[in-house]
Amino acid sequence: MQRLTMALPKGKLYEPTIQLLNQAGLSGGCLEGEDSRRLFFDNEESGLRFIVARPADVPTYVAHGAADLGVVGKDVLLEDQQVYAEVLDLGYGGCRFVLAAPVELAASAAPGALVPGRSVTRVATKFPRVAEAFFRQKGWPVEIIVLHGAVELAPAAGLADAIVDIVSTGQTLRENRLAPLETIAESSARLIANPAALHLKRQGLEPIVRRLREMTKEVARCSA
Amino acid sequence: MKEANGRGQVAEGQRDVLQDEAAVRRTVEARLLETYRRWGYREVGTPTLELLEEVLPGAGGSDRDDLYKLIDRRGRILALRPDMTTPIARLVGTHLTEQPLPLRLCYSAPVFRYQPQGAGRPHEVLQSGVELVGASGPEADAEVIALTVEALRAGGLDSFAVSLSDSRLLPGIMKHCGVDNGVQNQLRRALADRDLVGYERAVRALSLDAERERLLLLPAGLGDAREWDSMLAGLDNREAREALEAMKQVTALLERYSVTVPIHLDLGLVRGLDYYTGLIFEAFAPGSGYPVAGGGRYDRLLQAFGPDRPATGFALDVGLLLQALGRADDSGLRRPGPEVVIVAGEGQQTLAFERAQAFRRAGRSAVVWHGRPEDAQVYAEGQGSQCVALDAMGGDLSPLPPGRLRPRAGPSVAAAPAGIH
Repeated sequence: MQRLTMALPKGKLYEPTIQLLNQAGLSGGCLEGEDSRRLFFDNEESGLRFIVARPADVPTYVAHGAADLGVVGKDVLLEDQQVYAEVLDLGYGGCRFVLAAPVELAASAAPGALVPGRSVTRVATKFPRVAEAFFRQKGWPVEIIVLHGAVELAPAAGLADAIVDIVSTGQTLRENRLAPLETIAESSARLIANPAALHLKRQGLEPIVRRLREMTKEVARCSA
Repeated sequence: MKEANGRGQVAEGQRDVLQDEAAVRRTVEARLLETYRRWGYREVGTPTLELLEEVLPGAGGSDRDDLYKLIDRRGRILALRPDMTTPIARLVGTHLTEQPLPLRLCYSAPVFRYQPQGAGRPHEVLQSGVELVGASGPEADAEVIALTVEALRAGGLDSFAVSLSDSRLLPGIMKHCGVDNGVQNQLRRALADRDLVGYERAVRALSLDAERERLLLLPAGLGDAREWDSMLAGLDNREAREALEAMKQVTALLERYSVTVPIHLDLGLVRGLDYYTGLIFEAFAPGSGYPVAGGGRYDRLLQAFGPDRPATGFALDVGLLLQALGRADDSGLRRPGPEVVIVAGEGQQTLAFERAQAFRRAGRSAVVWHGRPEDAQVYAEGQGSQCVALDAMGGDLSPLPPGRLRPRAGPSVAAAPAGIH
């Protein structure tokens, strides 16, 4: 039996991922809730091992082959430059990257530039790659200011004119008097795989991917 | 780590190679070349610097942004060669037009390409490979793949897999399904990036009938060969059918070569370079997401430089191979420091040099100590060498029999592969 490893993300995708794996019959009931301190779980029966990592580290485990498969949000992948195969859209954990600005500015924003009369717009974000690619494509001159959290504070504090951030319900934006101007990209949980493993461990990986594909389709059908 | 004060830095994507790694690399490189030689391939060399328009004829080369470019004294643009296949095509077209076909050529040389920032990939890669020129048909394709497998084995890799496709297959399927050119490029790029989710989305956005959609989704699937067979049976595109036929023949031939590594048909395989015209393949080692070797048929490249000739070949990334070996024990491939440090006393210099030469003639490594005699022992231990004082040899002028030295770990120098001495 081929030993296979799957990296799971801590945080908001953790519970729905466990649920999916349980329902798919892949976990053998070995996975514990997020409050557990264990970082390894073994499904003794199938030889599938789960490791729990920070979401941003999941692509690293997979790219280096320390994990054959991984579950992670597309938002993380968009900021990551490593190589892996993006195999499946698992459908849950939906959110989107938006460009948002204070409501007054958002109302007056003209096409071609964000702040009228200013040559360079200052944009605060945790996702510099996504933001840069977006503005390059738009042709807007911007200065990207990288923050590590609470990006929605930046406009109120006078640090930036606008932000690029992840939004799921829009609640945080409203609370900070920000309005979305444009959706940059949609995100949801993805199944990624180490490309070498896809070839070398094909026999073991194929049934897992097939099973998750079926599950994902089923869920999509039920919710449609 | 050294402070970034402008000294001791190397250019982006460049690195130094220390003794152990250099020794392993040289050994592996020699074994690969020796393997090609045994299969009848002869080594050639090409310039590191090429005229840009020569190295990338008509392929829109000047707007490639991954090339290292510089300007020569007459103002012409030069490029550090980004691969060996095009320069060898030029070499064949200009120098080897009279030689009997097929030509079997091989090389081992660094190639240079800018990589995306933050990707952590070297910009200089030692490439080792072969080109089989003037031979078409599945026999030539199979020979090159069998040799790839043999070379990877000779290089020390014992676990790897080969995936196989044909560059005509995907365009053929797309044409059959009526996909327009813009979307073809989008689909191609998604597969090259291994973005199967993006591929599937783009296909679903095409509003095709169910049958065509299923056919188009095959390359994104993990691939059940039986399913492909039935799906592709109805394919009315000539090129795609020829491609499938060729793949089947090559697979059958590889069985006759007794190639035992797993070989998969992978309809999603897209090679980055667009000069391929037929069968393509890649080999993967555990760990790295990049193929350790890859190649294929390029029947239209040669005509840019001379007579039109079919050709196929492969290139192996020696760095990635070493990385894969690094996961295993590579100590057997290292070549250690000097075996013997000879310490001469007053007036014994001639004798010391003679002794050292005797060791060297016997294929062993020896150095003569130039410093203070009392420091020699520490130096020798630091190198893993044996320290020999001439005084202790009692002025015996005959060469030291090798048996007088304690054996050391690792292979002796004499056991190094041919071609090193």
